[in-house]
Amino acid sequence: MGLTLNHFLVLGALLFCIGLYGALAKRNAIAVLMGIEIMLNAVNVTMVGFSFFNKVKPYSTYLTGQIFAIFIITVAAAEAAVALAMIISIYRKRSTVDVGEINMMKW
Amino acid sequence: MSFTFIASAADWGRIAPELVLAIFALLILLTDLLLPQAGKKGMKAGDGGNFIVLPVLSLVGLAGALAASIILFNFGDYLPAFNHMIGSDPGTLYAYFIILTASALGILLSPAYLKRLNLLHQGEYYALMLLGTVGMMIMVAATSFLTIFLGLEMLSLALYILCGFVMRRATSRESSMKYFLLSSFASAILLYGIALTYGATGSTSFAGISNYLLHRADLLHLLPGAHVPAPTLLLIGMGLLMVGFAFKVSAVPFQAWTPDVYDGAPAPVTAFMSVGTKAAALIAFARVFAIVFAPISNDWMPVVWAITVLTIVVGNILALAQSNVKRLLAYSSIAHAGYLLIGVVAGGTVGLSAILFYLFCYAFLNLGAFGIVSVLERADNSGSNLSDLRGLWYRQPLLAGLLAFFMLSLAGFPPMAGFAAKYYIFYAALQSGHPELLIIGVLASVLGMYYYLRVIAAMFMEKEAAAHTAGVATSVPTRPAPVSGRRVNSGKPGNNAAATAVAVKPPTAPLSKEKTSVVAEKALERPVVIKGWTTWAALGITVAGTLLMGTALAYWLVNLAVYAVGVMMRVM
Repeated sequence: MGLTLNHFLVLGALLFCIGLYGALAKRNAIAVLMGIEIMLNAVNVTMVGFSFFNKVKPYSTYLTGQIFAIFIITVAAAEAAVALAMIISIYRKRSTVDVGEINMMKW
Repeated sequence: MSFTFIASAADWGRIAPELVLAIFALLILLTDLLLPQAGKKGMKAGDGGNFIVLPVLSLVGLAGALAASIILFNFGDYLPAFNHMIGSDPGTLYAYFIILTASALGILLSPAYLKRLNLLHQGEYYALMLLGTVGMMIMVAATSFLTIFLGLEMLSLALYILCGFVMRRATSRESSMKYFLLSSFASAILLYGIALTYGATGSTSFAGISNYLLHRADLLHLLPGAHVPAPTLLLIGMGLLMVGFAFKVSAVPFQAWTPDVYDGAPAPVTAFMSVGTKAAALIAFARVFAIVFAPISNDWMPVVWAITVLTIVVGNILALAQSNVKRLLAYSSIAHAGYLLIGVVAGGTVGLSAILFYLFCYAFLNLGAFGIVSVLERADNSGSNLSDLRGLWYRQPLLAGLLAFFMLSLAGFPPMAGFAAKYYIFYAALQSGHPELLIIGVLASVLGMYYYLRVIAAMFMEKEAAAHTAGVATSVPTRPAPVSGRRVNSGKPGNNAAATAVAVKPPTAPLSKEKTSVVAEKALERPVVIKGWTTWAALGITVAGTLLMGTALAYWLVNLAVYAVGVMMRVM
């Protein structure tokens, strides 16, 4: 029994749900960031799986999905750099990175 | 089957506007290194000419990009570049004009604001503004999901930093944090939607996807013309895409980030992003749904219709409760996103051209309104409450008059651009057989007039506070105050420049000496003045634009948009 598309998709969906849970339920900004990164990696797994098992005729020889994954990894790295800088700047002023306490503006 | 991806010289020509701007962004960073640094000890922002050189350089870059777009519009071949990655059709170029206008006006508003708040690191500021503009242009031009994603991230990364640019203001840091967490969350959802759409259709380029949708029956070896239900994978992917895009255009179930981010960010950045991001995300939304997914519009239309109605109604109702002009404008921008979504529901040439024309008008209206807010705003993000505006007409007639002008225009009163834009988008709704959207839209606009007029009422009609302030002003006139301050400070009559310099500073010291009331101190804390020729230029352009777009240019611009969208739909 080989690796099929379903393996990729189920792994991707599970990872996406874990990341979604982390992004929604965690209070620490860094944990939220990690949740978002897991979601992006879930997309990578799904993309690569679809690219590998692509059956639609003219596109099945292209590597679109795999190249897309490389772009996502690059952008995720840039995003993490900006986010960590912002989190540090907030931590310096307020000594907390709890997203529940960053609530000066409401409604 | 083998394939070769070739990037020809013509491809580089087709993305010339983006290239020009990107080069100028790098040039600005370099020039900033060469200029005497404002951040060094003993030097304040404003020393070293950064306030002239950098904005002028970025304006030159924007002018270059505009020239390149106009040349492409007149002489280009309109073909997509880089193997269907990025388009150069007239619809895209029309959208470039909108984004470049928003960016140029945002940059014109910046120098006075940065000077007043004593912000350093202007090289980064202008470079990020230009890079954000490039990201918006790439997103608008995208004819592949890969380019949409890259443009989106490019504009988001620039704006995350710009939102948090006033480092010492807690609300600014908070707004950039909130924007980052919610926006990157939405990006992840959008990406998952892209992945599923890719899996269902086998391609990420719009040409490939619409090719798949048009020839589904052949691909599945069915009879041509047979009704084929869209695959479930594609439906889920479309749903996730819709969530992602709705987040970016701040449509209603996903609008919660908008007021906080707009409120905390520096006012010129808010002005720029409120129009630029909206234009980029909405045109990408329209391109994906109203053009690429048009063959399966039965599947997505009800959802977009519901989002549109919700956005119009809820955006207007939530704006009613606001007491801060900046937040009020944020909610009004949500309501305007709703009006714009009517164009996506209407679809076709008429709907898409209505979106383009509306966005062009909206760029002038909104940048004008936020431009006044940027003049009013103080370093700690106060100054734009309705209580601060009370009786502004009696203190600052010009400022109050301009704000009233833009508020009336946003509300959609006839001679201004707001009316023409609304008229055409409601016309599109009627043309495409959605009279219910016309009725809801008009009723919501009437509701919207309440909060726009409330601002005007606060400035013109609240005699109580105005009389109070005026009374204080006669006993302690604004003009003589600096004179007395100069006497107290130096005892010598200074030259003219010194007198104006003192006049601009908050004359609190002489006031407290004269034992005036706390109210007077608050009212005269910082005389609100429009400073700097760039601010004057920006406000002049917005006023002229608002008037011209509503009257003389409206017909021509609508026809241009119809032509542009017609070619865009054919070329894609």
